Amino acid sequence: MRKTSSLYALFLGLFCFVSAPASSYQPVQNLGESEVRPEASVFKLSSIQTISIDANVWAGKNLSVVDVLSAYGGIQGHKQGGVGSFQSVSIRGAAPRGLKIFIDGVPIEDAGGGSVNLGSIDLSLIERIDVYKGYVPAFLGGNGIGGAIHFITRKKVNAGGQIAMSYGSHGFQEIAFSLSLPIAKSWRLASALAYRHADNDYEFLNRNGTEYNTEDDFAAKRKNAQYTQISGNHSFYKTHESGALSTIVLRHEKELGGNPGKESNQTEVAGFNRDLGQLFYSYEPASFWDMNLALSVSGQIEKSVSHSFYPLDKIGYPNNYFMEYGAIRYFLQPKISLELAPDSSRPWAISLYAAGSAERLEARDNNEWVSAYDWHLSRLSAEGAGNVKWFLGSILAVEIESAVKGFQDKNSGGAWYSPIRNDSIKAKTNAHLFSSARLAFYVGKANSRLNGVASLGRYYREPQLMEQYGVYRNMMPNPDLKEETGWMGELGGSLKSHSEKSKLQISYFQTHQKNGVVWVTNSSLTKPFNLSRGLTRGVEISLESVPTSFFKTRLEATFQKALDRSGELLYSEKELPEEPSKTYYAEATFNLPYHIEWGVRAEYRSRLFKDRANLQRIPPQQLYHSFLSWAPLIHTKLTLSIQNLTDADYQSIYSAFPLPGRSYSLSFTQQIGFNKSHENK
Amino acid sequence: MKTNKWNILLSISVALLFTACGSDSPSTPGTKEEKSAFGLVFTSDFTNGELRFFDLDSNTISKEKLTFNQDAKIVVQGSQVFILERYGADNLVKIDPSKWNEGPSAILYQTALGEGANPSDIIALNENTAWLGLEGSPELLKINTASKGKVLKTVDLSAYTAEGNISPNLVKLALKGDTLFALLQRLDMYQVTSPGLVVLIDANAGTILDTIRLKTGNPSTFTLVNGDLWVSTQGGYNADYGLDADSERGIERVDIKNKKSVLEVSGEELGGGVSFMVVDIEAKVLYASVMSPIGTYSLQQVSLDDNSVKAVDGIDDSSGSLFWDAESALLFIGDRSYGAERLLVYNGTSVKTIKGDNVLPPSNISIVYF
Repeated sequence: MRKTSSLYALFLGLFCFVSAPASSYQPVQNLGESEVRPEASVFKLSSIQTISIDANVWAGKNLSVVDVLSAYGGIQGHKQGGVGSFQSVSIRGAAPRGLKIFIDGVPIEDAGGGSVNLGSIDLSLIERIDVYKGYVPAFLGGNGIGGAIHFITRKKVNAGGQIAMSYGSHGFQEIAFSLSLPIAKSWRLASALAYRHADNDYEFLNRNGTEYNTEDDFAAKRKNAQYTQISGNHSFYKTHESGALSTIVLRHEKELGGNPGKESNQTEVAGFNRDLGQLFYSYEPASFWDMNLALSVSGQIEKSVSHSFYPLDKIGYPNNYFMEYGAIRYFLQPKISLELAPDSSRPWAISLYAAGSAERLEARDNNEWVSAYDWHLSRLSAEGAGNVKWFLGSILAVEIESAVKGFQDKNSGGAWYSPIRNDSIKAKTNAHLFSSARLAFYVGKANSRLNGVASLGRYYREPQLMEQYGVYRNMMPNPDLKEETGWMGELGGSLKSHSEKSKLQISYFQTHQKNGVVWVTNSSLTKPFNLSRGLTRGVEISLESVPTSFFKTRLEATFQKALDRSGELLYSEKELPEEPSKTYYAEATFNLPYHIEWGVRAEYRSRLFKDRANLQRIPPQQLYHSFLSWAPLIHTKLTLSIQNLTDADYQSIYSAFPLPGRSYSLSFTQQIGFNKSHENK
Repeated sequence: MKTNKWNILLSISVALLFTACGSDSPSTPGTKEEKSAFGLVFTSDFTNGELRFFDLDSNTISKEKLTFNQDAKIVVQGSQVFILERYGADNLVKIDPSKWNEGPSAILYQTALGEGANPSDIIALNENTAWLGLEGSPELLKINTASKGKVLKTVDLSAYTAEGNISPNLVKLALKGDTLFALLQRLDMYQVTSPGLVVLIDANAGTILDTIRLKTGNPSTFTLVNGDLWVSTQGGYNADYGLDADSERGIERVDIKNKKSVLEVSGEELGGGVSFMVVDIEAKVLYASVMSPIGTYSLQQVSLDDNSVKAVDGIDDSSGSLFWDAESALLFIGDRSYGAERLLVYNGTSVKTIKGDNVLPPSNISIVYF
């Protein structure tokens, strides 16, 4: 309680501080920002519903994607460990599985049908993250319960590069290299490569699975949690004589690591291995009739395999066999997008999107015991999305967005082996058609001090192939799953100060989810059902300010009530799992003499529950972080970062994945070759 | 349709998890001279587990509760109350019944047994010594129950483990004189490939005396009745994740003296396989929770005199286990009907609900007299 009060005081103090008279603004030192984007404004928030986060936020600070995203209103982060561990976010009470994740416009999906593991995205390769809260723009398909997160990789336009190295506690090490240079007439290469590794051997309190016996508690080190990843993006740009631009991107990832298990059940050899290769081509002709057209095709192969050995790991079926199981996914997606911007004679804008996709999933088991099921699953889809925005006068705009997607699923059928019997799945072909729509009203010009938005959308999440037909160990498919649906509404406004150095945003939101997939689990089996129904109401408040040349701050608060509305006796009106009722975030950065920058971050999360019955209680948590960076030379930067200063962590004994306590990292960043726009002022 | 699928999963889950949970009357010494008594019901939603207490007179479940890992099992031996935290927790817990309403101070000890141990049954030899069966290990343990479960002796049952498996799946123990009976499922990766087995062990020395092969597979529980062992079996699952009404399962009577087992009541007569079974010895009646071919549970009453089978009306779902209390001559039934889970008591003619607020579905029941 005392800590909570001090956090309130910090909020209050910072609010008072940012209301002080502002001196003239000067951009802070900016290393590593791409030249692709236009000069960033003081505010990174480009609209009320969209957050645009630059690499400066995480560069050199050893932050994960979830660390970065959960520092914004309405976004709750979920982590199961250290670097590379499974991580996800929920937005405005909508479960993580409904969110759409993209890297450079290409959808990223979990081959297992669950939510995408954000822990596998190396921020060293990312230049910007755009978060669409509560909606998905048409050019990304126009559908997703909770919204979308779009990662944009580094794409330097001019010649130059950057090398970054980090070293930190728990065996963390990272090196990332990016380069951009012309390689022939009208051809240019932008390439980035990153390697990161962590032993994740942090200490934690192992309660030995005995809640009522503290005598057997002991300080343990996380075992078998090591993580290694090598990833890269390599882009070739060709400027055609017509002014058109062709882009070829090769993206690759390899990651491997241990699957460390829970607090009282640490594993010895269980682990995973994932490989991903993606090729992307796009053609963007020169603008004609004020239209921007883009044609693209992307192909992706992803193989993800896990392994375990029960006698050592005590996970999975009790047997003496080495088990290796997983899937390979092939994905092909051609798409076309068209945008027509408004001008003085045409008070409307239109954005159209059409795509098709072919997806195939196959088992990649290599068990000593018989594999669960030699399945082949495929999905063909065609989708279209459109967005029309009318400007009614100078301050009011109406936006209508709609998307429709048709699926044809096919499963090969065949014998599979469950824990209790051998069975067969009938070969079958199914077809589905789903649609989404959104209506929004905007008040205020794009650059005016006062803006408002009212938005209501209905979205869906189609049943995933693995949920319907796939079989991993302990997992039973459910071919009868229906689509999940979600209504997302928002009423919000933003206000800038006269000097435009401070900006306040307030949004009220509501999220209704229906037919949510719940994996009903006992110790031997898990199976998905459409059981969940939830209602989340809340308010997000954000204040961002740069009152002086040496100080900037950002304050975020979320107040929400996320309730189960399933009607089930045990769960109805209980709080939705992993959704705290209050979160606060405060960040202050000081630009000190001698090119020294010091930042502090404080975050607070109120009590939450891990389970639907609200019996696994996680108490309130305050976390504090800090960093200190120094630029001894104009293009060189050293950053010391400390995460979780107070070494805080609490896990429910029945669902305990220990998290790292206090951790340190030191990073070195060197820019190579510059143009004027990147030089320090 | 949703409810049906839900029921199917619940049925499978319950069957898998509680194959050893048939709560027959304790066969160990235990005076019932003092008449302080209350009921214990373990409740679970496959995520959480709570031990609740109920009053036998007012038929109400208390607000007091103790949290444990999901799907734990209650074993009462005389005045000793044990909680077996099963797979995923693997702890032995002993509770002081006189402090049932004092929260965690009622817990005498909670001892970790090792990951994967999956304790399935405990049977006391006296106030200080007991045999502890582990479903996830081939070892049968003789422990000191007065010193936090310290292991005194180990019996190796690995000879009865199916090839490639970890354990012979010990699900139940019984004691007759100096002979300990261990009921083994002998599953092969949870699949029924051979009949169940009863192992006879010298309860003092821990030496294996003999084995008796059952007629059918996947036994769920057994109980001693007039010198014979009555064993319930489930057999294998069908395509609907139910248990077929055939002769591959049912209720067997093991003639211990002649070491022979006879299928007394087949699954065909019962309408499926038996997940839980208790016996009213005085009335010579056996109650069986029977899983049907489509995965639903019914309660069947079997006469030990003529093996006739009769359904008990008014029970929607008996998958939350059974407990027969000889003292009060009442049958307690865990009803896990989806959305209407409740604890029931049956007096031979009518069924009443034992009421409680915010109670998770019942999964195991017992009564303690102390």
